[in-house]
Amino acid sequence: MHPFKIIPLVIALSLLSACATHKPAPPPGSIHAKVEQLSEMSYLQVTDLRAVKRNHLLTMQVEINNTDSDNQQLYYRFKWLDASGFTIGSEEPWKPVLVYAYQKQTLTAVAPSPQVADFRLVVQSPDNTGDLP
Amino acid sequence: MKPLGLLFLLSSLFGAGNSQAAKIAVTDLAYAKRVSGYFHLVDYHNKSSARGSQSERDSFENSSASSRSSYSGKSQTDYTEVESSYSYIEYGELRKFIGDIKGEILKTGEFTLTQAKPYTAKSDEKIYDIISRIKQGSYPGADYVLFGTVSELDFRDEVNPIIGTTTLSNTFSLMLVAEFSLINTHTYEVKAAFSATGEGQDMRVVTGGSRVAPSRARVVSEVSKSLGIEVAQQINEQLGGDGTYENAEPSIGNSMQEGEVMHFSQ
Repeated sequence: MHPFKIIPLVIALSLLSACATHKPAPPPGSIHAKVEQLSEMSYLQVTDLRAVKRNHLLTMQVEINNTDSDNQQLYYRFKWLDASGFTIGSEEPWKPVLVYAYQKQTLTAVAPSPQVADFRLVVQSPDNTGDLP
Repeated sequence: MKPLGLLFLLSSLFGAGNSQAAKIAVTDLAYAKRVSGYFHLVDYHNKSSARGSQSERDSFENSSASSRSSYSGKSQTDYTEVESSYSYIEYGELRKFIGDIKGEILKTGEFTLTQAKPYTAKSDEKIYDIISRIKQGSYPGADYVLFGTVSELDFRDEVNPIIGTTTLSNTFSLMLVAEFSLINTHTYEVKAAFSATGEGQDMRVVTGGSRVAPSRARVVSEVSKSLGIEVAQQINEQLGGDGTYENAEPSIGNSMQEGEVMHFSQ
């Protein structure tokens, strides 16, 4: 085969492989757009996420579902962002939560400042798949 | 004549060109305020006088002697104490908050503005007699007068604990509710009537023991802006505008409104 004919083939293959490894960005307004998993959790899932503005502060409620018959450990923290997408305040410490077997655990949090316009929920569990979420 | 009048009204309201746009004069917000007071007056006068005299006479040849002395004193005290409370209603115009109303009306693109004469007469109920004020020529060149009166003005300074934290939220807020009527200066027809709310707050997160000084200027500025936006929206809605007017600045720093719930889907 002529070397010049191989080049488009290589490009096409590299594009295909890139599509295979990078998932499309989650749609805005979905839970996946707001939750960052450090590694895909095996048994814990964020099943509900809602925000309300109370007293000019963003108030969050998150529901975590344990699908396993054993208790699962969860660590989480919030990243608070202003309207321009910059983080507000220093990094929060990781907060540990024990989610019992088949339990739906509710977490709540209040933004530290009225300037908070957006957020990210960062979660991790020791029992994870080791894969990218 | 009636169809012609209607044609004139419509053309003046929704004129395509700016030169045909209806002219609006925006009054300062009229208010009535009950003023109560208490006074306690004490009037005390004391006047006293004393007079004394002494005379002696001594005659040697007849061997007689006489002496005489007199003393008189007088004291007068007047004491008056009056105590009362009074109450009256003060009428006036609030020379604030209408700048942004004018600005937002201009942004609708449907109207031009003319300057209204301020009400500087004696404080009485005639301030609400808008027809009389129109007849007196307080709104030169205006086709419509946007007459606003203050319904309530409410300052609040609240400290609330933030649930789940050890911090407190210190909120200094002002809410102004005003009623507006858009009145035709020729026919006195009310073309639009509504109440609008202006709200502003300065909210700080504090920890126990720390003290913050709220910014009143920021609060007043927010009230003025939000009131202007709502007035322009109401006028646009009630006069059947083409919907081109939209609030350019929803709220400061955040698109979510107070109490609005955002639910994220799976």
